[in-house]
Amino acid sequence: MQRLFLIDHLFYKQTENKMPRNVINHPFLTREHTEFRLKVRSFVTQEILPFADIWEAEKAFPRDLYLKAGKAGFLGLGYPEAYGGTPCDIFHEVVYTEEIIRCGSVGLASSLGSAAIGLPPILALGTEEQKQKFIPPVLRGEKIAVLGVTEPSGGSDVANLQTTAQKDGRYYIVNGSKIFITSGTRADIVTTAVRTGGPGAGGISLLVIETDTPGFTASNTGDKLGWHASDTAELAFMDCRVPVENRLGEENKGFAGIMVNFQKERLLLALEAQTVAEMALESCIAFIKANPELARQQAIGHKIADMASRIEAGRQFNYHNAWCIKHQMDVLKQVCMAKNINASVCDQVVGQAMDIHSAMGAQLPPLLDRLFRDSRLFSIGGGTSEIMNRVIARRLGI
Amino acid sequence: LSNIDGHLNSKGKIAVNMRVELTGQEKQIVRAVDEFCRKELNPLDCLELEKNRQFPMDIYKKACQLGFIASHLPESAGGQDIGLEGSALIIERLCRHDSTVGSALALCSLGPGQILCFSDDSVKSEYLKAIAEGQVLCGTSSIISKGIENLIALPLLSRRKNGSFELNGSCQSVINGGFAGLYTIACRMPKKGSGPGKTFIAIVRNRQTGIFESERHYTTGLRTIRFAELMFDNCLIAPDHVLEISTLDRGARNLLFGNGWVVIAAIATGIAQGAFDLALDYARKRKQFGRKLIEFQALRHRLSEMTAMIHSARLATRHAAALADRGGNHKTAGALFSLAKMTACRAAVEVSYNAIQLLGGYGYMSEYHVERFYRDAKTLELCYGTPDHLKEHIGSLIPVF
Repeated sequence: MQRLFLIDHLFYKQTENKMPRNVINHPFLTREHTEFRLKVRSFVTQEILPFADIWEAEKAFPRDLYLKAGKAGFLGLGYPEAYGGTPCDIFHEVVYTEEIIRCGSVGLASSLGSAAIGLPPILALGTEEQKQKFIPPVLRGEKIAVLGVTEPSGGSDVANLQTTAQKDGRYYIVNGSKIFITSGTRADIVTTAVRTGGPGAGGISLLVIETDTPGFTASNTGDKLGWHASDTAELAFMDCRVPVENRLGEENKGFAGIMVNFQKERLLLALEAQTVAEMALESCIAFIKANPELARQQAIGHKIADMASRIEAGRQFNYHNAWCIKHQMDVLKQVCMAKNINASVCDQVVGQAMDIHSAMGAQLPPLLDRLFRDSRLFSIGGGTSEIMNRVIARRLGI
Repeated sequence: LSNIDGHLNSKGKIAVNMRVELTGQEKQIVRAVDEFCRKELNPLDCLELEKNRQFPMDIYKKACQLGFIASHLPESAGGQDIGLEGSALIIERLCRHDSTVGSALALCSLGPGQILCFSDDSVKSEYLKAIAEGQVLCGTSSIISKGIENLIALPLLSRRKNGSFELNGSCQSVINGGFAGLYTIACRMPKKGSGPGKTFIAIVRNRQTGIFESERHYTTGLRTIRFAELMFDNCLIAPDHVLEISTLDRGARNLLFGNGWVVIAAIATGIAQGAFDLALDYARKRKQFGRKLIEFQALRHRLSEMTAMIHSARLATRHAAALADRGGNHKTAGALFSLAKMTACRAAVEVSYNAIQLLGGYGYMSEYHVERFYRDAKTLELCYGTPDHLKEHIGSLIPVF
């Protein structure tokens, strides 16, 4: 495995304390964040990095890792203590995302973090009883929570989903299917969007479906371009009887629960894209330093400068958005912009990094190959670039 | 740095009449290739081949029988004598149908194109016919264009007392490495003192002593092709199996470089067109928000951009092919070969990237094939001269425009 933490310290000089030099500092980050960063970094170095290549090849990682991450308090970041969470500000989540992605396997990091989109609807719409029942075991890493929204017939068109839930006494009978569900084959609870009413967003409810419910099946979606360590699944519901008390919030008011995810999910995806681009840049700089013939070339120097500039712009935008979310401001528009920008910067930077690494005729380092394949999803997952543009244009009044 | 276009017209330096329309014969060839693809290149089989990282040997042999491999060779050498223009058409169709298997077949034409530049007729007839008939598979290493001599490590050639040569050292990323019956290997004879020395191309047979294969490279795309590092240890090479690039006249040198870059540009054009076909097909069928994707203006505009990129790639490729075929004795021809490779590979990467975007989550799935086109396109852009290498080459020739 290639060393991943070569030269993080690209942008800020650490002068005030005796933190290791290779730690990113930022006006929004405190010493506490830096300490937390080192904690995540040592977790990644010890628990993930030595095995990342193997898990990528095996296309799965042990369930054990959820327990370890839960024990370290990483899964509960931002949740109230009452549910076993680790109260913190959003920059802890920013730091966690940046560091966990540095395991070099975006699929693993995303699959490990699937609760970050599976639980928020429960926290936002659920009753106290539901929260006590579903949230703590997931934050401890004992159970896996995922979000089930996307369907074979509609990815972008969320409001048009087809999975139905018909009321039958104290139960809903759920029929339909979901696709591209991260961590789906191993999930214990699926926060599922279903149609309980008429067409459109106004007929959607959210149900927490336990995967031991008869009639539920999950199968692996098959080979993908990247995200190999993530078990992406297709879920099928055939006459699944789900108790009415598993419904989150009121009937036909579930769409709001889907919406609560968007802002943070997209912020985190933008941060992942930013970090992947940083890793590609760092590996390039190290490669160039090791090859003086390349270091002498002006075009290479300018290319690196351009890559670094665009990454830095993306990062500042992300940090700005995180700060706004911390202060309860609605920045959905900016988050969508930042996701598009970071995703496209990431794709460009990784592509250019591959060009530079091939300049000597040698084969590509495996890490760069994986980043290339993994990063292509950033402009698709969590809403495609086209959907981001749609949201942005609407928010601009067009 | 004067206006390239102006020079094109006024001085007639590279005024090659480029036919855009296909001739009757070319149309027939295209129909024959399409029929072959429909019969032999089943998408699911291609997916399986790529998963197993297996060279499509059966398909290759059949393509040889039909004359689709190294078809630009003269008939005396077992080719079809249709020039690079015709050959580029065949390659584009093959890769359009399936990028992974198509490019595996097409890249086998690189070696014979280099052997064609050797002066000794007996060497040529010995090898070229066997290759074109499918008896021998030919492997190739990257050739070195001007400007990057210092960057790439090449095996070293040295002269023995009896006049024959000896090859030592290693050669990275040899196409069909360890698997072919015959290789064309770029190598270097160091100058006394400093400097990169002169570049040669050597024909090496696989059965010879002193040639070893180290591990097969893992590649992002083009996975049906075996890329491997070859190592040479006192590997003996006959004098007529060595070609000194600097002794070639400009026309022959253009042909040598042109062959490789035109073939790759044609592969890239095919990949771009194939990815576009998949995206268009999907956009016509898939409905979101109550409308077909193709009815969304933003997506139609994206498809238009993709079409424009493919068109410029195809024109650049065809122009370069025409130049190579007429034995283009112009200094500028070299730049136009590089330019074709650069333009077409960029188009392939961009178009396949956008094709994945149009398919959304499905585009990310292997089952929908287009992710393969994207990986192949990027890998192709990196081999046989990265964009930076090509810019270096074009840049070195700008003064003659």
